[in-house]
Amino acid sequence: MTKIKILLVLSLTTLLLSGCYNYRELSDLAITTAISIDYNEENKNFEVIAQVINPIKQQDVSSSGEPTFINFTSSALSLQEAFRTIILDSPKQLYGSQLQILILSKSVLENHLADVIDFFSRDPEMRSEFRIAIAKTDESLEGISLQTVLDNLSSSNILDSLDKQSEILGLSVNLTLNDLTNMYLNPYLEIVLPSVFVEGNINEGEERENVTNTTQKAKIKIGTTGIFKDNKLLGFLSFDESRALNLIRGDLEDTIVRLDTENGYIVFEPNRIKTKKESDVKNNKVKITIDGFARIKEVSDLTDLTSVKEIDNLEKKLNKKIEEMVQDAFINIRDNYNTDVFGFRDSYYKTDYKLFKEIDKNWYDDIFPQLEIEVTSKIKLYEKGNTLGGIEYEREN
Amino acid sequence: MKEKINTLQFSSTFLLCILSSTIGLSLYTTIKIASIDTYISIAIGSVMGIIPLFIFLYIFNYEKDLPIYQKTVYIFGKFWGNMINIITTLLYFIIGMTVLFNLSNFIVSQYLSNTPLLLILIVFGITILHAINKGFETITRVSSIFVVIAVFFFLFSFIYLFKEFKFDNLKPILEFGIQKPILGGFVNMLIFLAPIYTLLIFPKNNIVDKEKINKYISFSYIIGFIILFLVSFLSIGILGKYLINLYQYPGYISLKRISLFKFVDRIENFLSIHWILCSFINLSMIFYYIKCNITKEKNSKIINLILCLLAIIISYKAFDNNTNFNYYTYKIYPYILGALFTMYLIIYIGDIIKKKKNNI
Repeated sequence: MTKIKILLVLSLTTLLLSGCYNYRELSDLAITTAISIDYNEENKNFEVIAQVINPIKQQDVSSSGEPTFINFTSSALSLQEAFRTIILDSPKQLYGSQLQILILSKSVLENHLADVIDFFSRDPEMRSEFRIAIAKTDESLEGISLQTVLDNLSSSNILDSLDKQSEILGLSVNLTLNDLTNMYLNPYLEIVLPSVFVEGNINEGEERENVTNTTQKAKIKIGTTGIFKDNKLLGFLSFDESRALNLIRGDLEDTIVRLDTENGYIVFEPNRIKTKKESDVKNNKVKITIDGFARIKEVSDLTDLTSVKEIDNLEKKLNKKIEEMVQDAFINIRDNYNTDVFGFRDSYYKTDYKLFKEIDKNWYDDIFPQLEIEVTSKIKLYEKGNTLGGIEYEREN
Repeated sequence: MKEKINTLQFSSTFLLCILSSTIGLSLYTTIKIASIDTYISIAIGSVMGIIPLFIFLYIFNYEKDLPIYQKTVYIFGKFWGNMINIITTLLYFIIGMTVLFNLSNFIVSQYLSNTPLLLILIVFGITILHAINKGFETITRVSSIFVVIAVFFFLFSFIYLFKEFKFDNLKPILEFGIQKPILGGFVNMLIFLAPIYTLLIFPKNNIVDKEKINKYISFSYIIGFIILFLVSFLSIGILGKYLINLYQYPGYISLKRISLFKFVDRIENFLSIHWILCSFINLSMIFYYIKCNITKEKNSKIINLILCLLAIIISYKAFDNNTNFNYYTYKIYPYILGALFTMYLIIYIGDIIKKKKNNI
């Protein structure tokens, strides 16, 4: 009897081992890696493009001439309907767990951001770690359709570009759904987002030839940071402003800085940067201390790099340059846009919430326009590469 | 009760019962009350929890040969003793249904979104039925294995999540005063300490190396609280004030940030398995306690089956959907836990009076 019982239990267990109750085969899923969303104000529709991986092995796809991904477009009054009705074109259901990049248009960001955040954060299958960017132009929304060479998928191409530029250039900060949600929900934070845009002819970029030529006819590029105030896009920062903003926010780790000299220039690579902010709510002042290290990467000058004194001098000049860059960017953003994208308001709140609540009502009228920053850069120049002095200097001496 | 266990098995079960509340119930309710000061609440709760822990140890050390349902009869007489047993059994039945629904709801909302809730309730119901059929010794043996898995997964998550922690997210500290964190601490204490009284079903003298038990239980309590504190501390430090209020399971959402060597990611489901293991032990203990109170140690598989079926059906029908359930956990559940705590407080006072009378 015991043996029969054991056999019965084992037989029943095999039924459970086959998988979950409502499992879906991998081949039944349309694995979505990129999504772009626009909003058509005329017919009140969300217009979406979803990039789906061609499930055939990626190497085989390239050799067979098939596209590595397929784009599906749809539009509907709600996002859920827009994505669900893609099934009318595609034999497989969209699966968002592998989503890498989400590109949003200006109109979506300004008027329907809550809908987008709600849609993506509510779905348990969706991961919140994908990157989000603004489409700088309407055409940029179709940037995920472009054929790319170094990565088979344009979504990976954008994701890698975003990650790498953030690591080595610091032009734009990498933001995930949770970061955007936090900026949206927090009344003391303004939204900042990296931007993307298409360079070249988008129609030619979608053709197969875009990956067979050594120079691509169209490519998607990472742009500077877009800044908002009360969820309205104010504009896009310049290259230096964008980096300075990241530096103030503490999101910049590695970048390059060019120092113009009398006879040329010297390029430094500050790295391992850490930014510390101290808010003095009473005096409406923020002290910013920048720590880190720097290498000399390029010299087009007669500077004697073997001289200790000269290196000390260069270090001072580099720090001064960084301090000026940050100050200038802050003043430009404060005076031209009057938006606190630096997070000072939130920092004031967290430092002294009692005093902050007294002054918060007039934040953009009286407090922020008068806010001052005191920047101290303490970057240490520690390395200059293989060569001892500069090439020009060696030639002259 | 002829089963024999050792101190390690007993304290492992104790620890898992405490940890089972980290998903859903404890953090959700405390965040609702204390928001970003939740970790302070939990620290306060840990200090407050010394009283229920002391009560537990006091009752446990009293009449060491008797299980709790016989102790109550011994202290209060047959009528009042049985009344107390019936009330605690009913209260534990409600708590058991709450934990069962909470666990199933977590699984449905995060892992198996298209699977019917009833099916998950049934799967857990069958597993719990098997555990209580096997008895206390089996449950505690399983606990001693699960505790290693749970602590390992917790440490693993902690190490990888620590770099995501931002101290700034904890600020401003105590913006709305200390009252809410104290209230949160009290409710939190009730939630995570409620399951520990189920262990009183086991007489102290049946523990092989019982001399060390008080020390082991105190140690498990400290470990449990450190883990609870760190789960809340990390979740708030990673997600911040607004996101912890947005999500139902902030601890689970924090786990999504883990990425090993930038290529092993999406492991949150795997890492969160320890919550399921803890909840399973907790549920097994609760239903074992109820079963013992009803059957008075007779091994009645029919009663066990009826008990599990009732729990499945009632929890499925009573809570209906997770909005109802969330409302219940925040508004009603603390009172049920408070009632349970009061019952053990009465037993504790009865113990003292009885001891004094005996001495006289």
